[in-house]
Amino acid sequence: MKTRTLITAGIIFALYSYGFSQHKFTLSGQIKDAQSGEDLISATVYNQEYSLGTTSNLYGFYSLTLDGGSYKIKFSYLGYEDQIVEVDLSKDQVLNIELGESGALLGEVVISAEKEIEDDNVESTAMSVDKVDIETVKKLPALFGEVDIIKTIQLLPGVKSVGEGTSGFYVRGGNADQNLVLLDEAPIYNASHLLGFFSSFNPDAIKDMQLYKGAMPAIYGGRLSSVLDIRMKEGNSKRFAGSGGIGSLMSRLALEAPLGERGSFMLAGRRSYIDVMGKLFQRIKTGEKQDDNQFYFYDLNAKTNFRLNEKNRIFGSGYFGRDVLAAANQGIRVEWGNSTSTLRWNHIFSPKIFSNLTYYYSNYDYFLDYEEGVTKFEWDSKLKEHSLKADFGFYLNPNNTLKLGLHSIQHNIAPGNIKSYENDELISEYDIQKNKSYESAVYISNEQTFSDKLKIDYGVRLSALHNVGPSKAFTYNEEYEITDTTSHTSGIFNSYLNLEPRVGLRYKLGESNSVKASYNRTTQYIQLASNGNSSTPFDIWFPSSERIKPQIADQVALGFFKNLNDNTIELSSEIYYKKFKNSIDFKDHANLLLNQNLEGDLRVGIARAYGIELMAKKNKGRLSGWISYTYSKVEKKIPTINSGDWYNAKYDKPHDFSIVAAYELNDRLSLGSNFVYSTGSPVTFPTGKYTFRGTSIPIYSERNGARLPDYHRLDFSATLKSKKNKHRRLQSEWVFSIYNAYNRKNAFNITFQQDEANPNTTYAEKASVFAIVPAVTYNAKF
Amino acid sequence: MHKIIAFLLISTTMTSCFYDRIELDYNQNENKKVIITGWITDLDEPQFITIQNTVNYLGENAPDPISEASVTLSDSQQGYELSHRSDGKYYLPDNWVAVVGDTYTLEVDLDGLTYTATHKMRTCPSIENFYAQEIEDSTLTDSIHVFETIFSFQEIPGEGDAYYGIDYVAGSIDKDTLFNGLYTNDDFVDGEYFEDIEISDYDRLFKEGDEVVLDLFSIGYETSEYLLDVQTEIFKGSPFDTPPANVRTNFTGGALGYFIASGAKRETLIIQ
Repeated sequence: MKTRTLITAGIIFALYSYGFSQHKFTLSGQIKDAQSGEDLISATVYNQEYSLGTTSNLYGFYSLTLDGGSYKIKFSYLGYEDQIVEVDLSKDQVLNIELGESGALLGEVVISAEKEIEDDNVESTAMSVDKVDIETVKKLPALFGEVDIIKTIQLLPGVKSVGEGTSGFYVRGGNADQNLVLLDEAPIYNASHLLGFFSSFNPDAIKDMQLYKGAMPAIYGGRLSSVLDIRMKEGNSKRFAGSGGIGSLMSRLALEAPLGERGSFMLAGRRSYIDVMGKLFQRIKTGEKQDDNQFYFYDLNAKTNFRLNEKNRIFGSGYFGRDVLAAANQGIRVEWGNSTSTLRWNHIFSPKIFSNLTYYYSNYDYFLDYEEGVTKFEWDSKLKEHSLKADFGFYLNPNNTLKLGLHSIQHNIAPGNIKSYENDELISEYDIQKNKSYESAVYISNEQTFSDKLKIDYGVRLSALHNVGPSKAFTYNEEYEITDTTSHTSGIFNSYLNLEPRVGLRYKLGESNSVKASYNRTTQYIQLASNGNSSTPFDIWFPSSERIKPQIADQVALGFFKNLNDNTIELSSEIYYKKFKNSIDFKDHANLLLNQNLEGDLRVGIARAYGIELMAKKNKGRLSGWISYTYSKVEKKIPTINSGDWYNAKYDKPHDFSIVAAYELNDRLSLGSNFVYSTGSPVTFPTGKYTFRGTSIPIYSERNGARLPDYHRLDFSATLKSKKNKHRRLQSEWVFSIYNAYNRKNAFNITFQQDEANPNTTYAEKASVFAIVPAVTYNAKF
Repeated sequence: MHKIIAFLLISTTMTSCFYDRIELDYNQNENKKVIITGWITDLDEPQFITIQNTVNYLGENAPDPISEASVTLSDSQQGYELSHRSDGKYYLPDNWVAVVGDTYTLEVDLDGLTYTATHKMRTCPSIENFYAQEIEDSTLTDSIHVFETIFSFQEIPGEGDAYYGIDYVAGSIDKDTLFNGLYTNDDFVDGEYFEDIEISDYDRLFKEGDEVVLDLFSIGYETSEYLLDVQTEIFKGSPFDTPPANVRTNFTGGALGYFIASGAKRETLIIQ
C-alpha cells in the first residue's frame, strides 16, 4: 500500500510542477536516420551545461522543455555521429534531426560532430533491459547461416534456452509462455518456424528490438516474465532500396521505397526449401523420384507509413507466416502459422503531448488432416485477438515525463474442433469448448529526475480480466473430480482486478558508476498448456477462469553499473528475486491433447526464482561483443507433483556463460564467434524398475532431479564484403559460418532402451540433433 | 494419432540426428521399494501374485523376489492364504473358487508393515463371432499366408467398465507381455455392441495350423487408467510426452505395483 501511495503522490507532484512551468519553451521534433529516413528509437537529446536531457520515443519523437535562452543540444545515437545544435529558445520550436552513420552529416545547424558513446548504461533508470542491435545480430554466427534474433537473445544473461537449436526462450525463471513477444505491438503466439528451429522474425524486416527481463515499464502487461518488443522497419523514405540473401535452407528478399514526400513502405518475404533440397539429394542418391512430401515455411512482413501533416502520422503493418508439413503417402498434412495486422495513428497534441492510438489483430491457428482409406480426420484450432490501445506521453519538463494509457484486448480461443469422415460423409464432430475473455488495463507512470544523482521511474498498472459466456464450468472436489457443471449464459460471469506497481530508481555514485533498484508486479491472464520441452504447433492457450486464478509475479532487482574507458566498455551486475503466485503445472500423466476438461488436469502452486547476472559489453571499435555469466535457480512447489515438495523447473540451468564477439579485420572482412556453456537441462531419470507381466515399469524418485550432460558449443563466422565502389549501389557479401565447430554432440534428450540380447539389461541412449554444421550464405543490398 | 506423432517426431529431427549408447552415473534405487503385482481371474488355471523389490533401472538386473511375506486374499465371505512357491510368486490354494461380482482384498504382511489393495472382479461379456481373417496387405504378408483374429462382444451397460484383450498361440509366452494385448474403456460407448474388433499385433500374426487363444478380461475403468499410465511411461520419445512420473498404484501402506481381479473369457480356434 505504501508503494502505491508514494507513486500517486509522485505523479500529483509532477503534474503540480507542470502548472508552474509557464516561462519555459519546448524544443520538439523527430530524430531519423539520415540514409534511410527510419525513426531512431531511444536517441539521446542532451544539454551538457545544465545536465538536462531526454530520449526519443518509439516513433523517434522527442520533446525537451527548457527556460528561454541559448543552448547547445547534443543529439546522439549508438553507432551514429553525434550532432550538436545551437538553439535559441525564445518560443516553442520544432527541430527535426537526421543522424548519419558516416561523417557526412546533413543540415546547416551542425556545428560539430564528435564521436562519443553515451553512458546510458549508468545514466538511465532502466535495468534488466537488453537492447541488441540488429546489425550486431547479423555479424554473429548462426545455425545454417540463418540470422535469428531469438537465438541471439538466448546469449544474453538471464535468458535460457532448452533444447538444441530451438527458438523458445526462458527469462529469469519464467516459462516460455510468460514472454510477451510483440511485433509492431501485436503479440506473436508461436514465434517459431520448422517446429522451433527458426524464429518467425525476418532480420531484413526488423529495425529494433528490446528485451525487458524485469523493471517492466507500466505500458507493458499481460505476461509475467519478459517483453520482447520488436519493431519493423518503416521503409526507406529517401530512395528505393532492397536487400536479400540466399542460404542453404532459405532465401529472403526485402524491398523498401518512399511513397511520395510523406511516406514509405517495406515489404519482406522468406521461403525455406528444406523439402526441395531433401528430395533433390535423395533423388541423386537413390536415382528415384521421391514421395510428394512437404516441409517448408514462408513468411511475409509489410509496413507502410504516411505523414498526413506535421501533427499526424499513420502506420499500417502486417505479418503472415505459415508452416506446412505433409506426407502424401501417409495421408498427413499439418499447417500452422501466425498472422497479425497493426494500424497506428500518431498525433502530436502539442510539443509536449504525444499520443498513439493502436488497433491490432493477431491470429494463431493450426489444422491437421489425416486420411487412411475411406476415413478422414480433421482437427483445427484458432486463437484470435483484437485490441485497441491509446497511449499518451506528456513531456512536462526535463525532470518529468508522464505516460498514461488504456489497453483493451478481446481473446477468442477455439482450442479444437475435430471432425471424422467416412467416404466423405461426416460421422462425428467433437468440439472442445470455445472461450472468450476481455483483458483491459489502464496505466500511469512518471520518470522523474530528483537530482543529478537520483532518478526514479514509478508507475502503476490496473489490469482486469472478464470471462464472457456462453460457457460451461466444472466444479471439482478435493480429488480433482468433477462434482458439478454450471452453464453460464452470455455476458460476464467472472472477473479479476489486479493492481501492478512498478518502480525503478537510479542513484549515481560518480561520473561512471550507478546503482539501480527496481520492483515490479506483473499479472498474466492467458497461458499456454505446455507439458514437454519440445516445440509443437499444437499450442493450446487458455485464459484464467473461475477456478484458475491469474498468475502473479513479484520481482525485486538490485544492480551495479559501471562504464570504463570513456564509456567504451559497459559493466553491469544484477541480482534478482522473483516470487510466483498461482503458478501452474500439469498433474502426472496429464492429457493435454483434445482434453475437454483441461482444468481438471491442472495443479496450482507457487514458484520462486533468483539469480545473479554479470555482463561486460563492448559496443564500439573493431572488436565488439559481450561476455556474460548467470547463476540462477528456479523451483516450483505444486500439490500432487513431486509429492508436494519443491522441484526444479524444466528450464532451471544454474550456470550459463556466453562469449559473443565480432571483429572487423578490415573494411571487407569481419569475423564473428560465439561460445556458450550451460548446465544441462533438468530431467527425470528412472531410479528403479519392476516387472509386471513381462513389462519393465520405471520408478522415479524426484521430478527433474537429474540433469542432461552440460551443454557447450563454439561457432565461427567470416563475412567477406564486396569491394567498395562509389559508382555501384549493389553491395554484397558472403557469410561463411560453422555452427558447433568442435563437433560436440550435445544431448537433445536421453532415452532408455532394453537390450534385445538381454531383456534384463537396460541402457541409456543419448540423442543429439546437430553435429558440426557448416553453411554459406550470400547477401546483397542496394 | 501415434502415427501422426511419430511423423512429427521424425520431421523434427530430420535435419540430422545421432544416437549414442552412453554410461550414466546417477543415484539409483537408493531406497528399495516393495512391489506387489497380481492379476487373478476366474479362468481355470493357477492364480498367483508376485512380490519383489525394485532393482536398479540401468544395467543388468534380474528381478529381486521376496519370499518371506504373509499373503491373504479375501472376498466378502472368507480369506485364503497364498503360499510362496518360487521367484516371489505366491499361489492361491487349489480349492479357491472365484466369485464374479465380488470385491477382493489382497493383504500382504512383510517386515512388520501391511500393504493392502482391493479390486472388484467384474463380469466379463462373452466372446462372440471369433474368427480368423487372412491379411491381404502385400507389405505384411511377404508371400506367406498370415492371419489376424476378429471378434465381437456386448459391452456391459453401466459406466465404469473397461476391457483387456490379447490373442496368442497356445503355449507361447506372448501373453506374458502386457502390451501384446489391447485395452479400452466404455467412455462414450457405454452399452454399445463392439463389433468385429481386430486386436492382433501385426508384428506377430498367425499362420495356418496355429492354435490361437483369445483372452478377454473385464478390468474396470481404474485399471485401464493404470495401463494407460504404464503405456505412457514405457513408450516415450514423442514431442508430446508428459514429464516422467510414477504410474499409479492401488496399494496402501507404501508398496508400489498393482492388483487386478477380473472376470475373463477364453476362446480358441485353429487357423485353417
